[in-house]
Amino acid sequence: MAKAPDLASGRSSEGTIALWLTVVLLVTLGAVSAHNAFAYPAAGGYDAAEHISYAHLLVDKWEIPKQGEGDYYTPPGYYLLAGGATRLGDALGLSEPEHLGQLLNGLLAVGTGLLLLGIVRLLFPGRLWLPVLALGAFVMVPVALKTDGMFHPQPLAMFLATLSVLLATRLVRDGHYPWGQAVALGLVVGSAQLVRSAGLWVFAAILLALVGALVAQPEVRRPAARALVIVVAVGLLIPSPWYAYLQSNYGNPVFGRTSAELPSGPAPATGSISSPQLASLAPPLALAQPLSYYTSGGLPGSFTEPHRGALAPRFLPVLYTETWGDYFGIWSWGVATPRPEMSPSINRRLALQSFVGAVPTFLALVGWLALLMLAVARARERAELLAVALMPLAALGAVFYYASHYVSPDGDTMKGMFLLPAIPCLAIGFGFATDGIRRRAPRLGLVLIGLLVVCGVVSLSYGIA
Amino acid sequence: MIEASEQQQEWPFLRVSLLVVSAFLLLELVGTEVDRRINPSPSSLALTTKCLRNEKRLVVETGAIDPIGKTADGGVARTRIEGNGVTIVIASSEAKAKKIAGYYSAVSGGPEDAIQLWKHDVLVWEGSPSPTQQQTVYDCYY
Repeated sequence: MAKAPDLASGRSSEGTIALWLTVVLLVTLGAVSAHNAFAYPAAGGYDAAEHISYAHLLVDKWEIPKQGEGDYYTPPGYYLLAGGATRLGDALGLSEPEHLGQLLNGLLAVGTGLLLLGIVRLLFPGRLWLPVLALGAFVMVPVALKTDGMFHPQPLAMFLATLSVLLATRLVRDGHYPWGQAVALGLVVGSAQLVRSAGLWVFAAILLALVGALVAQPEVRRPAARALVIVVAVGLLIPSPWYAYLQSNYGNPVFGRTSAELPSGPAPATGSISSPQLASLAPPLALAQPLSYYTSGGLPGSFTEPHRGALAPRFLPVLYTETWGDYFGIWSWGVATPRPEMSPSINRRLALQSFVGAVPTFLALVGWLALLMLAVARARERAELLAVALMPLAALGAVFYYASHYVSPDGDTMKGMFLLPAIPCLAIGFGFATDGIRRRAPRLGLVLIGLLVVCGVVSLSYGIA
Repeated sequence: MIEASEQQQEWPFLRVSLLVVSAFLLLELVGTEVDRRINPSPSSLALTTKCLRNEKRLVVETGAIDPIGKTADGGVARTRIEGNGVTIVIASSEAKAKKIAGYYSAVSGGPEDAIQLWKHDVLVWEGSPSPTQQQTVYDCYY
């Protein structure tokens, strides 16, 4: 009897520490994102010139770029918001008003962190350390910090994907499936499709989660089916004008191009092949790679020289090194000013990133796979896990599809950034695995968490522009 | 109590997942080694040529036409970008590339920036390269 208050007070003080750590992580994320938004050059990110000109064209002339004018196939959602932010920057007299478009991404990163906490709270109520661990993983992964600091639509896609997971999880967990929440979910998955084509696989993952819950829980089949119909209808209605526009103008409603067209082929230059010669070339799919291209880990290069030029572009090595470091030379090195050229010291830093990413990646994969198996094997009791578990699967499938159908010899179509909408779910997987190990083997857990803190600090420092 | 029982239910899944991911990593290590022995990585010349042809849609010829280029053990690729001809001479090491760049500099009558050294590659331009011309080669640099 005397022990009860001790336990309660112990748990309460543990809860206070966990809460403070959560706040510290959120403040750190906000501070780093705000710093990066102004420290990282607006023109420095992935295809930044195209994104910036799209935003200007949209808000200044209310036009969408035509084929050959950059990202004509990307929906206008982000550009509308970032263009508005840029105008505000103009009005405020900023020398580079596009920085406010980057700041918008920083705010979305913090918003995504809060949504992640909301999902963990729904899925694992009462577990004090799981939210801290999951948020910690999200804060330390460079692919998120890098992309959040750029003028780029992917952070908005990540925010909407995470919001859709939160709404779907709540819908399934509560089991009442009110129509208002279904409409909200439909609006979010529909809006995600107006930001990037990634919104389509987010939509697919959410639908699959709802179908899974409907099949696994016969007692709620009727309201679940009604919610599913609403989500499908609203989720398709919202982006349908965009799909119709792409179909009528370019003959492909989703990508606005076929796989026979390379993603960013330059305009023919003097000395290039003439059109008849071009037509006689084998289509890009002829570049289809052997199986090892998709399965090889690129060892030891992924850990010793994790950058283009030294490491041959293959599916897993590019995804991994771009997630934890800077394979393409867009963040800490590269030919474009003001980034320095590759040097032994930069290579050492990238190699360090590959090493510090190894354990967190391992734990994220373990946790995600465990959540997936748990969600499928215990679907009747744990159907609310489906959305979180299916999102990374859909992301990997989409990245694989894109890399294999839009082949680029330099690996440009398999960037780690394409996984960004699923990163919060992988971070939850990381938290789930680490917390599980910590509870099962407290001493090992302590050592593991100590190691992860070091990895986190090193990795976070790399993500500061 | 509910929390504890939930966690007891979860541990078997975590354990299986730990084993599966560990096995995948082990397979990855073994497979990579086997793959490296069966399929040696394509050479830098092959990758650069493939990229310039397929991604940049340029006409590319291989093989040296000058005596210095013939000493390069990694091969030579020649192309023309926006009207400016470039010879990409690939050496097997940075030291060899430096030596080759030195030979070209000694005999070159072109502009100062016509000969460039990029790690184990030497770029010999006909005229001063523009940033976009350099970017094109850089995009295909392996």
